[in-house]
Amino acid sequence: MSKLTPQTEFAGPLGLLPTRPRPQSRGQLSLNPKLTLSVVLVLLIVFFTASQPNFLTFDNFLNIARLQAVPLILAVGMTMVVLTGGADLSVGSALALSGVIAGLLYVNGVPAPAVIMLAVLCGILLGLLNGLLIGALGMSFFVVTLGTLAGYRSLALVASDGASIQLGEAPLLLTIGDGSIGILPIPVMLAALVTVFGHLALSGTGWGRKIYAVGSNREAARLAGIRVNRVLVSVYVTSGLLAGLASVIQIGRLTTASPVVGTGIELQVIAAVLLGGTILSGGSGGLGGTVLAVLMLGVLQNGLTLSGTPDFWQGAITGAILIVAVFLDHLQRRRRGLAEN
Amino acid sequence: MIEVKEVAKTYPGTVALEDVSLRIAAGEVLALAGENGSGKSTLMKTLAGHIRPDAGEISIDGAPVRFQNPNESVAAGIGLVEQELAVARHLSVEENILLGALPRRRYLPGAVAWKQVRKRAREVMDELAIEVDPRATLDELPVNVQQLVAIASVLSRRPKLMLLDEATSSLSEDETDHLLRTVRTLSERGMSVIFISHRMREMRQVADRIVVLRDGRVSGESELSDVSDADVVGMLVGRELSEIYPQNVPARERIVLQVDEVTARNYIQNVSVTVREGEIVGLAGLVGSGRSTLAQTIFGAIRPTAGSIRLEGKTVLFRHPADALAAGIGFVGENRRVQGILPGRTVRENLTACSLGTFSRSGVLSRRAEQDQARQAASEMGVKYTNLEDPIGGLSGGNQQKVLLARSLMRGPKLMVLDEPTRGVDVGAKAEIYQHVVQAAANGMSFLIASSELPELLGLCDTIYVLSQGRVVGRLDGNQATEEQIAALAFHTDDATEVA
Ligand SMILES: Nc1ncnc2c1ncn2[C@@H]1O[C@H](COP(=O)(O)OP(=O)(O)OP(=O)(O)O)[C@@H](O)[C@H]1O
Ligand SMILES: [Mg+2]
Repeated sequence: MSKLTPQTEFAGPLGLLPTRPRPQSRGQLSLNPKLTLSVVLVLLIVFFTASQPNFLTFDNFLNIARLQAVPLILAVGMTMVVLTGGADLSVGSALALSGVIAGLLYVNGVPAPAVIMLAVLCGILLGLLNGLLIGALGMSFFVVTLGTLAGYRSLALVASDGASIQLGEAPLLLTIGDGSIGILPIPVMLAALVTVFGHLALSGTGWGRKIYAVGSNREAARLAGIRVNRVLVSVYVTSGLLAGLASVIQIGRLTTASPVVGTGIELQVIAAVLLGGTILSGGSGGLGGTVLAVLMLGVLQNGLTLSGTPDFWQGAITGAILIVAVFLDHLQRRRRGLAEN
Repeated sequence: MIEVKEVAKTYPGTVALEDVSLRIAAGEVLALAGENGSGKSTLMKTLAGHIRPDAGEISIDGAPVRFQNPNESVAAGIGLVEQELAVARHLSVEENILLGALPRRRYLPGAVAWKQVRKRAREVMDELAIEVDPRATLDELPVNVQQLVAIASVLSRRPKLMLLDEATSSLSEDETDHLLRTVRTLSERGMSVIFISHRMREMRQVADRIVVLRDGRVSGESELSDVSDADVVGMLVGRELSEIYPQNVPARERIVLQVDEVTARNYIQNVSVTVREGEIVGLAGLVGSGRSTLAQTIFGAIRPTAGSIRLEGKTVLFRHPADALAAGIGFVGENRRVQGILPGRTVRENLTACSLGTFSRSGVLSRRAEQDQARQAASEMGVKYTNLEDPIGGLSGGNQQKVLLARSLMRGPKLMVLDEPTRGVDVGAKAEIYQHVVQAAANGMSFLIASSELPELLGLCDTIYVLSQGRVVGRLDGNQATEEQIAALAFHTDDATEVA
């Protein structure tokens, strides 16, 4: 977006912004989200190390990584969606619904490998519904995914009768959700693999390029021969697919499929994407920042838990961080606006 | 009196302004000319407080000012009409005009006094002869009207110094004349103006004095009455420009594009156009005559409601611009910011946006091949840039336009559909672009060029179609047609079909 009037350009929300433009001659003073994040991450680690004796241990770090595997996988899909200028509010619900369906299939005797594939397929279908409504029918992403946020969750509750499904003996699922090869947890490796593939797709394929183009300027992308609708469908399908994959890890870890799992996780994931420097209006950003942000949120959560901060506070903290993220987004956009003039 | 003293501004890799000084007296109209990337817009943005200079000083009536932001510049009576159309696309005409200074109700704090808004907006609209519903949303209006609204918005503040950065580039000739007359009148009442344009005629029409920038420095300054057009071009380009329009090779017989009785929405009706191999065909007409609609229909961006389009003999129905690109048609739209530029992306990505397939294998891009192609395309078109990996926004307007031309030429299309291809491009670069077009045509590429610049059409085209109110009202031989002939046809209204 560019300037409308001088007023809108320099007046921040609630007058939060200084009315002075950043000194441009010193240009490089500008905010780099990845750098900021790294600094915050290091500060958090130093702080918790100093205050919590069992924070800086190898086991604790593996623990953090294990807990962040699911959010990270979801955040990879979310980054792609946000890059096109949208957001997928339904990821948490899709995670639960895929998990519940996988759980039901498993307890009814479907073999584990088939269950895994069907969970992923379920995620794809849930994403496809979002994608078709948004991409093909041109509906607002906000309306559609807000609707499916409620809808998918409700279906998960209906299918499971509101109760968690105990999977019982589930060796393969347990291995995927909680196993290790050597010292490396399998879910963490899966998340890392997804991230690497996501990064390669975004930076080195035509598809990735089109995602950025669509987010940058939809009409120009269309006139450059990019089929915007298909790109939109593809990112929501990817987001769904990854929710399906994450659901396998999720149910495997505790060998339980819960219909209320992942409630509110979309906020945490979107916060991570924005904190990572991907711009809410699309077209700019990437996975590098997202990974750092997920790590930072993970360290923060872990540190708070270790220091005995009640769980109830965590929502407030995630919320505050979301607002900070949007604020950073705004700052960055303003910088981009200035640089582009 | 406003004085700029030794202003300098450096961007990483570019010196945009160096030691620039100029003064404008009250009531004076100063023409500011220069090649693409010479620093004109940068100087305007400095005056308007959008950017801060690295060095130098601006003073108003002898008192030095240091703008920290655009508001301060506005408060000091400076109004800038930006080169890249800056309007609120979802707001109405009247809101746009009074944006930032909406009159308020006296006894209801915060409430907008809509009656007054309408009245004030009307006044400014009348002044600029804007004849649209003040409540229409900007989105629904053609670019020229949007541009006029942007000008009106600045004018409504009654600035002491008005800065017009290529504000006429998307206006029709009538609108330009009217605007320049209005500007002249206001300047006689004391308003100072800096007027930027790449057209000599306009500068002569409105300005007294000309200042020429080259590579960020003032390279010449003169009373306009003392210099010939050629002198000015010489100052601009730094060399003599012998001929702008190269000799055109006659077209071949084979028909490439046959548009047959095409109707689209209610903007064009029963339009038939033929383009042969290697032919350069022009589309003339007033703004709103349907040229852009026709161009977009051929490119598959608008679906025709009746009629047929044949490409090399085969009937085609494009459902998406991608189909047209695949069939060998290239396109550059009239509004580069909305239809062309991918803001925030690099120069490289902007160059290669529609050729991704040519350097990727099963979807995976070869960065090396992409860079090579981008670099080559940019240098062929003479794009002035520092680094392929810089954001496109750092390029001057004219250079962004060249990037878009290079982008669609990169695929080597059979037919190029260009809508106002040289908007915002300087004289020297225009000549280079014409050279390209004629060269490509000689090699068999066909062109369909919609343009409001009649000299351009006359100098370049083999055949010119004149459109009026969505219909073809004349087909002229480009070598024999005259501006008067085209103008007469373009103004023609109802009984026009007989002429064709
Ligand atoms: N935000 C920016 N970042 C980097 N470089 C910039 C930026 N803005 C302008 N420049 C550079 O400064 C130089 C002057 O640009 P400017 O836009 O003032 O040219 P101009 O005379 O207005 O050209 P045109 O006729 O094409 O509009 C160019 O080389 C341009 O690339
Ligand atoms: Mg400019």
